This record gives sequence, C-alpha cells and structure tokens, in this order.
Amino acid sequence: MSLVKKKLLEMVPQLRRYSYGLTGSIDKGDDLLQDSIIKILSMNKDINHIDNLNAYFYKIISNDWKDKLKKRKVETYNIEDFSNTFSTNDIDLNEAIDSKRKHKKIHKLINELSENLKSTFLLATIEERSYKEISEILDIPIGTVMSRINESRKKLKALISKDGLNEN
Amino acid sequence: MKIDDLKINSYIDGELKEQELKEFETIMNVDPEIRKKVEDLRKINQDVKAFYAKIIKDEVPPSIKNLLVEEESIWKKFSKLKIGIIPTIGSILAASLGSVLTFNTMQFASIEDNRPEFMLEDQSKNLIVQEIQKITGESDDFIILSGIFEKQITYSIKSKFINNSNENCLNIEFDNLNYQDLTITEAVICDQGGLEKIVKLSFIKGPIQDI
Repeated sequence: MSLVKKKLLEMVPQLRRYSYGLTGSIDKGDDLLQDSIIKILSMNKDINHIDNLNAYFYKIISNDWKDKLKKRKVETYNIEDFSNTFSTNDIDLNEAIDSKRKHKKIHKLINELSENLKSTFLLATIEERSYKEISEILDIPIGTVMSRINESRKKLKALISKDGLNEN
Repeated sequence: MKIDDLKINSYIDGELKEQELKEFETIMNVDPEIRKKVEDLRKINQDVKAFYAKIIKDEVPPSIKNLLVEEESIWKKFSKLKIGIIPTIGSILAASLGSVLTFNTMQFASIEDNRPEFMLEDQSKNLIVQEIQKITGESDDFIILSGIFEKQITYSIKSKFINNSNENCLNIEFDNLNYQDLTITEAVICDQGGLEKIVKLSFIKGPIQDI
C-alpha cells in the first residue's frame, strides 16, 4: 500500500468528522471526503516532502469544500441527520431525550456559523489543530485564526445562553 | 499580562507557552471573572466535542474505504511469481523520460504467465496519466484523461527487475490504451519503498499503420 493511502486510512475517522462538521450532514460529508481523497490520490505528489501530512489533508478538504460552495448553492442541512443516530439503548429515557435535544441544538448552532468561522472553530476545537496549523490549512494569518476562534465561541456562547442547550 | 478574550482562547487551546502560561494561571487563580469565562468556554467545547465524538467510532463507509484499501499490492503479488531477478541492468534505465530509450527487454527476466490477474494500482495509473498530460501539453483535464483506464484495456507484465537504485520495477505492455491520437504501448514503473515513479513511457503518435 502506498504511503499516502496508509496515512489517509489512519486519518479517515478524523477527516470524516471534519467533513461532517463542514457540510453539516453525514452523506454530504462522506461525498466531500470521497472527492477529496480522489483528489489527493490523483495528485500523486511526493508526500515525503510534506512536513505535516495531517494538515495537508485538512487543507485539501477545506479547499474542496470552498470550491463546492462556490460552484453551487449548498442545500439546507438536515438537522435530523446525525442527531437522530444516537442510540437510546441502556440510557435513561429522559436523559436520552435531553441528550438528543442538546445534540440537535449544537448541530444547529454550529451550522449557523459562517463558513469561515465554522471551519476555524472545528479545526481548533474538534480537530485540536494548533493555531499555526490552522493558519496553514486555511491559508490565513495566525491573527485571523485567533479572531475567528474568538468570534465563533462568542457567537456560540451567546446563542447557548439565549436559548439554553436543552431547549427545542 | 493583559488578559483579553483572545488570551483566554489561547489558554484553552493550549497555545500559551511556559512563562505566559504561568502568568495566565496566576492571574486566573485570583480573578473569578476570568475563571468563570474559562469554565464557560470549556463547557461549550466539551459539549461540542461530545457531539462530534460518535462519528469517530462509526465504521468507515465502503465507498471511502475501498479507495484506500487495495486487495493486494501489485508489487507483493508480483513477488510471489517465480522469476529470476537481475541485480543490475546497466545504465539504460538511468535515461530519463523523453529521451529515446533503446530498451532491450531481453536483458530482463521474463515471466511465463504474462496475463496476471491483478489490476494496476491507482498510483501507477495516475503516473501514466500525468505523463500523458505532459506529452499533450498538460492542458487536458486529469479526471477526463483518467477515463482511459475505465475502458476495457488489457495489459501484461513483461518483466520484473531491480534497477541500479535497487528499486523493484515493472515493465508493463498495453494492448489498447489510447488517448486521442496517442497509443500507449509500454510503461516502466519502479517502486521506491511504497512510492512509485515512472521511468519510461512508450507511445505511438498518429494513426497506427497496418502492416
């Protein structure tokens, strides 16, 4: 197996999570990841020269998503999509309902962020990338990374304190 | 140290180093307002992380997995065939692409079964497509060009050998690999520890004359 495929295979769960975060839907996220992987494989770049492969993969996905957004108007995300897949087995029913509501709400709040804020927030908070890496992935100065993270968290905080997480 | 929201985010994201981190924590310990802000943001992060945690445990869909998992590497399959390996093959392989190569296949060990049942890996296909792009002026779309492999093409592995750099190389002959007025007849691809490179591509330009 080629080195790039091996690396990609290791990273697929995280890349899939990021794609899901960007698109707001499992199906669209998988489509985005699939297209990005095809792109990475067809580039056939000598990846030995790339210092940070993980950041490189995130970059391709981010750019691919930007291209897709430019090309077509993205359909409205379906908030039922992922939040409904949480299992209610073995959990207290009230707790499960609360948890489902909370997840739905988070999904909605993240998707209400602008694309720029969303990608920066996801990379910092969910993917736990350093500010330097995010700056390379999104091709923006570190100062912009910091202000976007700040803005996204402020917005989320404001929305949460307004409605609470468990409200419908 | 002045603690603003940017600094609080940097602290939460582990971006503060040594002295700055110490200073931040010293101030935070005596300032309940900052402590509250840190706790609030951590709580939001925690909730959002929990939401995204499930997808990590999900099974990777086959449409994605299939792109990355190959049945068995062409190189591995090939190594199972009993063939002689020639340690050095002289300087002709050093000739770069684009040069006229006086390639003499008789110098390599040939194999008996020249129709092995395996597919060319994507990486090898991509290398060939990239070379065709160079020949045609790199103006053609990669994806469209890659379509040449979707047609029923047949090929045979003419020989396997090790070149001067101790790389495993395959000499592949194509029967019907065509793109526009090009007919690709032969490719030599070498494996550099998982990374493939193409060292030769033979093609005929223009219509093929019947003899």
